[in-house]
Formats: sequence, C-alpha cells, structure tokens
Amino acid sequence: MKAAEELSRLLESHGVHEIFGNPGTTELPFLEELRQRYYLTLHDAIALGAADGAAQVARGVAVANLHAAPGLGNAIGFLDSARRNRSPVLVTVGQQDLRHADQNPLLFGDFEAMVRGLVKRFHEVRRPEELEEAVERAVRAALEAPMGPVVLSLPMNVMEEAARPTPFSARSEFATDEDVQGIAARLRTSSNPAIVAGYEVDVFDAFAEVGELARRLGAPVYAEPICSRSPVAEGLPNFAGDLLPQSAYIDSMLGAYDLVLLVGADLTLYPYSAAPLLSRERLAYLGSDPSVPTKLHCDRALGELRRLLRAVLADLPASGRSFRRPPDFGRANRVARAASRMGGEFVVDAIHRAFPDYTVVDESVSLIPTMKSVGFYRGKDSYFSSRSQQLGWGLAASIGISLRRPKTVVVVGDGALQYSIQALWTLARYRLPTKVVVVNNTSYTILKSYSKANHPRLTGAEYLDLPGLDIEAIARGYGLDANTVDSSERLDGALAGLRGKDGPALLNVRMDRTVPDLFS
Amino acid sequence: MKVRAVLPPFLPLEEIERRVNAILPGVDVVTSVDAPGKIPPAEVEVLILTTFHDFTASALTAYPSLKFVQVASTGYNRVDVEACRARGVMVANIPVANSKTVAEHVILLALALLRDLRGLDADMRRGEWPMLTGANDLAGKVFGIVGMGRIGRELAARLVPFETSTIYTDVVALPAEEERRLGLTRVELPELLSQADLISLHLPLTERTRGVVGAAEFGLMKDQAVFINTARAELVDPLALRDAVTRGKVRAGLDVYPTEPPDFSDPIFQAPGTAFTPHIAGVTFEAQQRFLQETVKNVLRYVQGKEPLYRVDAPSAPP
Repeated sequence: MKAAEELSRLLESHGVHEIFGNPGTTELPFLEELRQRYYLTLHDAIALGAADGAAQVARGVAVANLHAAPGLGNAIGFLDSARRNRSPVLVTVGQQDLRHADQNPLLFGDFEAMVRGLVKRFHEVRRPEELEEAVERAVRAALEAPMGPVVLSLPMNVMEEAARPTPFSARSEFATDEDVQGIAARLRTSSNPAIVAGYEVDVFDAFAEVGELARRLGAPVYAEPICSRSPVAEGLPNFAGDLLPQSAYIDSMLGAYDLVLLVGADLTLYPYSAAPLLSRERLAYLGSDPSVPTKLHCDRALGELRRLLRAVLADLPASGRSFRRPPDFGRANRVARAASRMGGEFVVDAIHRAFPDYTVVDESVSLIPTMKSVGFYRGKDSYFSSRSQQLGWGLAASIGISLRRPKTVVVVGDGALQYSIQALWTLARYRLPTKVVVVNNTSYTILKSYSKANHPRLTGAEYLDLPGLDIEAIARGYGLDANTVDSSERLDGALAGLRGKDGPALLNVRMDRTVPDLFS
Repeated sequence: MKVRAVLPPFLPLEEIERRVNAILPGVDVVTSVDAPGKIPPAEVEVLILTTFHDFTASALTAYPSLKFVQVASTGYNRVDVEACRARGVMVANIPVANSKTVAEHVILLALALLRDLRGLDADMRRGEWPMLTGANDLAGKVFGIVGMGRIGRELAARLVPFETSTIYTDVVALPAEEERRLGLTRVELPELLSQADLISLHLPLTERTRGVVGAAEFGLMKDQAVFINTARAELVDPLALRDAVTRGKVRAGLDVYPTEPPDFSDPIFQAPGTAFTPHIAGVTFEAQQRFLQETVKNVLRYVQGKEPLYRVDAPSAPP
C-alpha cells in the first residue's frame, strides 16, 4: 500500500468522504489512490471555502486539497476566514519532490512560512511512517476547541512510497473548567444581567440551554457582533437583536447591564471608536475560545459550551425577573415603503418568506443587517456567514454546506458574487441543488455607505459602481438555470420559481441602488 | 320609476334637485321622511336618504310600494335594515365616497394633537412666541387602527409614508399580500390598545360594537395616547371617555358625539389635549360631489333593472 492510499484510508476513518480541490501535478500521486469523492472547483480558494462550509455544517473535519505554493497562495484569504470561522478544515497541499528541494524547483515553497499565524498546526510529512501520527495530530488539533484549520504538506515522493503505519492514539475531548461555579455565582448575584450569544451555540447545539439560561435570568439575549451562525433558536422571546461591531454601539446597547455574559461569543470590533469597551468587571465568558476572555481580561470558564451551560444551570435558580423583546411593528411599514423601489427591506422580506425551511448562506454584504433582523436565525444549521466578512466565501462555502443540506440558499451581492464566481460551475457540475439569489444593486454599496459616513467625497466615485455585468448570462455560461427579476410585482413569483427548480439555479434580483446609512 | 330624496334642509336643495333631475327626471326632493311631497309616499319605489333622518319600521309602513332604499352616506344605522329586509326592500349605502376624506381627517387630528396645534395657535393669537413645545413626531409611533374596512385601509395607506408602525384589529384579517402592501400587523384589541401611541376607531355601529371602548379599554392605553373617533360616538362609553380625557390619561380627537350638536357644558370641551370637529370628517366639497355622483349611479342601476351595488340588507353584507 502506498502512503497516498494510507492517507486516504486514515481520512476515511475520520469521516471524510469527500475532498474539494483543484489539482495540479503535485497532487496526482495522492489523487491516484483516493477513496473519497473528489469535488472539482475551478479555483483553489473555492476548494478551501467549500471545505470550510462542509466542516461547519458537519461539525467535523473537511478536507481541501490545494496545489503547491501557487494554490496555497491563492487560498490564503479563505484560510484566514476558516481561522476566524473556527472551522476545522484540514488542508492538504501537494509539495514538490523533496529529493530536489535544495534546487528550489518549480512549485516548491516554504508552506510553513506562508501559513504562519493562520493555522492551528502545520506539518510536512517527510517520511511515510510519520503519516498516521501527522493525520491524527492534525485532526485532533483541528477539532479541539477552539476549532480551526490545519495544514499538511504532502511531498510527491512521500506519497509514492510504501506506507509504514505507526499506530497512534489521539484523544479529543473538552474539559470543563472549575471556573463555572464562579460564573454561576456572579449570575446569581447580578441584578440586571444580559447575554451575548455567539456562533458556538450552533456549533455545540446549545440552543435549549441558552433559552433556559435566558428564561431563568429574565435577561435579553443579544447576538454577538458579526455573528456567523444562528445564536438562538427560532422564536426565542428573549432575543433582542444583533450587536453592531463598534465599541460605542456595544456600550450603548449593553451599558445598562451589571453583568454581560458572553456565551460562545466574541466582541468583534470595526470600525474604530474612541469609546472604551465595557469594563472587564462587567464581562464574563463561557465558551471554547481562550483568546476572547484573554483579550477582554474577563472571568472565564473554558470548555465545550453545552456542558458549561448545563453546569451553570445546575446551580442557578430562577431569578423572578422576566424579559420579552418588544414587538417590531415598524418592520411591516419599512417593507411596505421599500416595495415600490425594490428596496432592501422588501427584497429580504420576500426571500425570508420564500425560503422558510432553507439553510441560508448570507453574503448580502450591505443587506446583512436587514437579513439578520427579519428572522433568518432559525436554530441549528439555519444561517451561515463568514466571521471574516471575506467576499467570495459564501458561494464557495455553499458547495460544502449543500452536500449535507440540500435545501441551501445563498444570498449574495453582485460584487461579492464575482470573487468566487467559478463556484457556480462546481454547483452545476455536481448538480448540487443550491439556490443563489443575487441581490444586485450594481455597486459596492457597503463602500458607498461607509464613504457616505466617513469620506463623503468618495460616494460618487465611479470605481464603486459595477455596470455592465450580465449576471444571468454569466450564470448560464457556467451551466446554471438563471433568471432576472426587476419588479416588485414579480418578485414573489420569481423566488417561487427559483425554489421550484430541481438543480442549482440563480435569480438575479435587480434592486434599489439607494445607499443605506449603515455607518452613521 | 317614482323616486324620492329626503335631504336635510341646509343643503342647496334646488341645485341638487336640478342636477339630479337632469339624469333622473321626476325625482321628488323633500326634507322629511313623512313629507307629502309631489309623489305620495304610498307610490314611492325608490327612497334616497342621508344620515340626518331616521327610517324606522313604522315609517316604512307609509311606503307600501317601496322596493329600494339608497342611503347617500357610509353610515346607515338610522335605517331599520331588518324591517326593510323583512319587507323585501333592498338597502344600499355608499361606502366609497368619503373613505379617503375621513382618512385625511384622522391624520389632521393626529398631527394637531401630536404637535399641539391648538396650543401654539392660541399662543400666537395672544401675541406670544413660544420657544418650546411638547410636540411629538408621527414617524416611528405605533398607530392602532380598530376596524380595517375601507376607511381603515385608506388610513393605513396614508400612514405608510409617515413611517408609523401600524397595527390593526378586525374580526377578518386582510389577505397577507394586502397587509404587506399597507405595512400592517394584525393584533388582538387588548394588545392594540396597550401598544399603540395613537388609536383610531373605524368600526360600524352594531350591537356587537356598541360601547366597545369603555373604562377597561382606556385603562389599557398608554398614558398620553392619542384617541381618535371619527366613526360613531356610540362605540365609546362617553363617561369613560370624559374621565380618561379630563384626567389627562389620553388625548382625544373627536368628530362624533352622543348627541349632535353635543352638550357644550360637558367638561371634556375644556380639557387640554383635545381637538374637536363637528361630525365633518367625511364632509368635503369633493366628498359631497362623490356621494351625489355615486348615489345617482346606484339608483340608475336599479332603475335600469340591475342589482344595486353596496347592498347592506343581503346576507353577506357587513355586520
């Protein structure tokens, strides 16, 4: 058995049944022995994005196979997204034959230097007998909280050699910190607590525990800034909406509470505000990511979130307080006002009604706040976006997500679509039934909105406009069923038509170009 | 076809008679139901009424040939519809002529109260130049509409650009598409009363709706809520209304009164936070023209052998 075959077998033993990639010569020795289904993407970055999506929805390792130094270089942005997404992606990179590495041959590279700071573990397999331990350690590192990407470099010559298995036993479990009792005590004595829930609630399926915690505390539950996954179950009456990432906004929303408990959540900041973030005395953290309480200098209990919450609840009586989010009767008015001009509130409301049972991959950029406000947080695996806010991630990730969630709809801006447009081909090639809704305002509206607030002279800059893109024709060129809708009256019908397609399909929604006030 | 129109005496009767006769020759215009007129009541087949006259079961007995009563207004509660139905006499109203007019009037009262128009106007007339007011925006307020008939829908449509959060209650929900077009959320009456900053009544007067707003309902309202009634005074318990207004619990914009003209010694007329109009919410020059036009059109339909529109005696008629 070649080392390449042994590698494939080891990955299979960890539940890896598909690999995403765009191969080159350096990968062929591995691919020749591959047992997994290979999903071809047209760009290395899309392979990594697809694996990121697959890993998140599987809550397990997913593999992207990249082509040597150029391929790894192409995908670096997506590697950073996987890091921020806490996504357990195992990246395999084909390396040149090490026997002439000293000659700096074509495609050879110092991969370790390239991924420094972006991955939890890097290892170059220089001998076949290293393989089993390298894979086990990589998988363990990827899955251990906080999860994240790892890279294995696979030299061509090593893959061709005979396998020399060396048994290695890896252990993967999370520890519950004794600090739980301290957090529980603070919750018991708080007179006015609030909860900030984050992506880990979905990762660890802790929706019921978060709901129970909120009920007992009588506290509001806010979504962390730039929340990438559903932080609450659908219809949680305590859910009070999303926090914005600027410290001044966070302060204004949370300043009234004497204790703010971060539950699998981070307080991501952008843009800069001179307002100092909430003082450490008022913060506490429950979750798996030590970097969060470290940067916030606050109390913590580290571990697997659901276990931590259950431990806290075991020691937390009902407070007697109650909180219920006030109804947002104004939304119906905003939708009605936006109807005549195909405004964002109207379009998003229509998408929300058209896909009530779909997993949503949200890269609508300037519409993300609207998307989050209408109720796309529907519990487990209902909502995905990138914590890095990287453009192009959504369409690529939808490849991996739709393998396990055939009912997946991607809502993507016309500008963001172009960053990973080749992903359309992979959707069409493998008949992955993803539905793509392009919210097309023919411009980089997020930049216009930022300019409007901070650099008003740039709002009319011609390089913020995207004229002349025939999105419907491009999608058809990649093999997708595609249509365009440009009127409010036809939008519901067009979305129903999109939903009714058997395979992958795209709807180009020409909408209002008014620049929203997202930063003022 | 013998047609009689019973109109209030303060209208320009000669002008109306002249215009109506140009289309329907021989219409007999009188000022009371029991007036002898040119056409004896016993021979009248079509009777045109307004809201200013009662048409009771006993009045009906004087009209043995009557086939059709056309009420030239939205409200028809002064007609004994049950007695007419028992006799096989059709009854129709004109629900389409002043819906927009009333809706505009509600917004007039809402803005007048939110902006303290009366107080500012009075200050100016005293030669004062107030620098501060307690005025409020309409934008962003929760506006509750009780009854989502034609007027309710016209009001809702006009509130869309005002950026209100509009909620409504009605026994029948609008189609979801219509709710979206009008930016509406349907709630039950207690929730509407407790959530709304402004409340406007648009219910027909029936035995079920009589006194629908009493002390308990005022108790549910927010302090300083704006309560507007352009529908029917009988929908509201007058003592509870007076109490809520004079205590300053709510502000009130009223167009209808238990007796009209009302008793002006009622302390409600001295209360701050009020605006009054004399049952004139649906009366504009344009609305009157439309009433006349629609009334004549509907009578013409009947005369030509077609079923009149807007029948209120039919089983499917609104309650």
